[in-house]
Amino acid sequence: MVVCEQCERRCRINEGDAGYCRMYLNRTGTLEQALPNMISALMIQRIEGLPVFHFYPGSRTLSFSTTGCNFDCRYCSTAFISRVDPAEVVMHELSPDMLVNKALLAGCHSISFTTNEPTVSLSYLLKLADAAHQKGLHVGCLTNGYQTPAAAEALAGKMDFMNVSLKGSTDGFYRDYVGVDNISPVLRNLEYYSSHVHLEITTPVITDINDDQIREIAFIINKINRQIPWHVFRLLPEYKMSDREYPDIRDLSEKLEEARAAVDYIYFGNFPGSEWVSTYCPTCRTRLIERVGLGGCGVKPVNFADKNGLCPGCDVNMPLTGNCVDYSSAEIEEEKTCQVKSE
Amino acid sequence: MSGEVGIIDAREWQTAVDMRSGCTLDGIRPQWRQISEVIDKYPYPGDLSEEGNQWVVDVSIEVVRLFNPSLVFLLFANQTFRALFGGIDERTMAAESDRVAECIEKFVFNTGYEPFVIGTGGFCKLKGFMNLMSTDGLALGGGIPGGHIGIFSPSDKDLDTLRSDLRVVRLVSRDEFRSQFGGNDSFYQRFPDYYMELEDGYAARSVYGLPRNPDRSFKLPWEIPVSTHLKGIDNLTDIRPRIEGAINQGRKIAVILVEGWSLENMPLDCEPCNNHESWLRHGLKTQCHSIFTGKSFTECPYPPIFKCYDEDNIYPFSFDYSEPEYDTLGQTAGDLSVAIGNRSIIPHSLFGADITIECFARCVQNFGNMAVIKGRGLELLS
Repeated sequence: MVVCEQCERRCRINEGDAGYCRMYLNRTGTLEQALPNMISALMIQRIEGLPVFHFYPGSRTLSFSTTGCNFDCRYCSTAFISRVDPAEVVMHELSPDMLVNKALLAGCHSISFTTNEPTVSLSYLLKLADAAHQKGLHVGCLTNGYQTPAAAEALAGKMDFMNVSLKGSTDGFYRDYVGVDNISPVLRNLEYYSSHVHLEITTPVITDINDDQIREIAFIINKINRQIPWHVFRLLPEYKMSDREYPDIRDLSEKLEEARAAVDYIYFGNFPGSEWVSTYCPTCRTRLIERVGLGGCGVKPVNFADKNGLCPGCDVNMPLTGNCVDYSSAEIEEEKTCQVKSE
Repeated sequence: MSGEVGIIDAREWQTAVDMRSGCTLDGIRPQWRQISEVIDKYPYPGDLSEEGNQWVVDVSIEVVRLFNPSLVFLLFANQTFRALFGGIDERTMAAESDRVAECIEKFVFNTGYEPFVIGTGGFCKLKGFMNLMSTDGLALGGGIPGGHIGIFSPSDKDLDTLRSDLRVVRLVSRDEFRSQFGGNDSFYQRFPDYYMELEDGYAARSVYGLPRNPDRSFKLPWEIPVSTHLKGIDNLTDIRPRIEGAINQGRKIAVILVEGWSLENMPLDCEPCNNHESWLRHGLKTQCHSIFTGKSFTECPYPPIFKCYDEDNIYPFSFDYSEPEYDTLGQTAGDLSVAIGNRSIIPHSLFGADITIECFARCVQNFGNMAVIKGRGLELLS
């Protein structure tokens, strides 16, 4: 029997078995990665589409996914890749070096692990980060934040940016809708990531399930650092909750207006035409980055008030890692790094 | 504001955007209310819902009643999403094909328009995937399986490997392609270094390959079925002049594109129409270009496959298409044209209608619906 130390499930895996996520195996008494160097999809997109809004805005990223997840969110919108048997997903071999080469060919500034949970393919992601950094590319991921402290340290040590999904504010929510015992590992890791890597947070909102937790989630973020960008995601539920109504945009907008008292940079997306995807100075309300919401995960920046994020209205810097980048520039012009820091 | 307005309905919430910049406008003007009320009244049921085609009919009947256009375009695409991602069997597919015919009948009965029905081609069982992720160069294609693949910056090893793969039925360099088909410069500026076709039934896994596993693939036909009283339709480029002639005679025409209908399964009386130029068989996009412009597909700015992620300029809601077509059937025939379709982006980008209503779906996720008003539509509603 081996204990998997990648996530806080800490699966005890008997020989011949797999862990909960089915991506870690015990074949011969040691923990092995299932489907090593195998990926399921590649896509070139704006970094804003991940969503990541305060890390080299306007840049181009090559996003990729593997398969599997250590959560079982009842509303999962990517269950076709996250919640199926990994053996059923069509996967193709692509070494980290080859993936980096693809990103360079496509004129990308970064590579992002998206769609399914990176913790289930952690060794690949860490090797990829080394290969990408050698070629001057940034690497980041979207994660549910349920890593063990050791895995979180390894991840933060290699990632240039992360977006952690904070799905609710209570143990009950995580137990009833996510399938894990409690929220505390996620909160612990958020605190850690906030001081070790560029961090943004996403909350998928489901009608009548967690839309009443907006205030509490804002309060959690406020306690960590009110300047962490917070993406509220209008979830279109699938998987076990596909019969749910879509979240009401007006109701959520009102709740988010109240949350501005706690969090400086709130975004509300996953619907076309959203006016909540631009960045405004929290002090004087000058628009710093104008973006258009294209539906799905499409967001396009169309205007930057200042390339380095300096507010022309009050001379205050927005928290920005790197500068604004021309999407088609292929290379990042290193002018400035202004990390989101803990208060 | 540019010459195109989009009205987005994300369910119980609407906004208006400038289609060229993508930026939000100062609200929905009162003169656009007729349109915004239609898209509010008929929420799109979703790509995988079996009611998706009924939505096209319901919206189109309402729009025809409101605007009495000379020309109507309908695009029925529900069967594509259901066939590829809906997990339905052949019997269900056949039954749904019959329901499309009922939808057309209902539209004709309620509006009196003369139908010009085009089946864009059928599906075939998916035989397997071809991994194009691990090429040294960059392969694009395979978003919805079947059709056209582009290879950029391939290595000699890539080319040797692809040439020896029995699933590859054609691998042609840009120069070879141009010498055979000719065409305009912007087409070839975007054209891949190599154009490739796979045997029917095989799907590419490359950049933009969908992570969802499809059950079927498109089958690119050499001929497609056309059902019409108009004579002399041998090629796709014959369609525009024939329809313009009929409109000039005062006839009211509905051009109806049905995905999934081929010569083998079209449930209406039909004649074959060429769906190819030389050895190139058209997919939906090049079909639409040829039908609506009346020109060869190489006169279009867009080749069958290109680096759509490099199109960073304008018209962000049109995704691949940063240069919308203006010299189209929809912009010139009669006094007003409308289009309704349940495949996103293609109706408003390629048909050129004055008023378009289409679903707003991405990767079979349903974000609502969208109306696009331009040209004579904006004049009418000013």
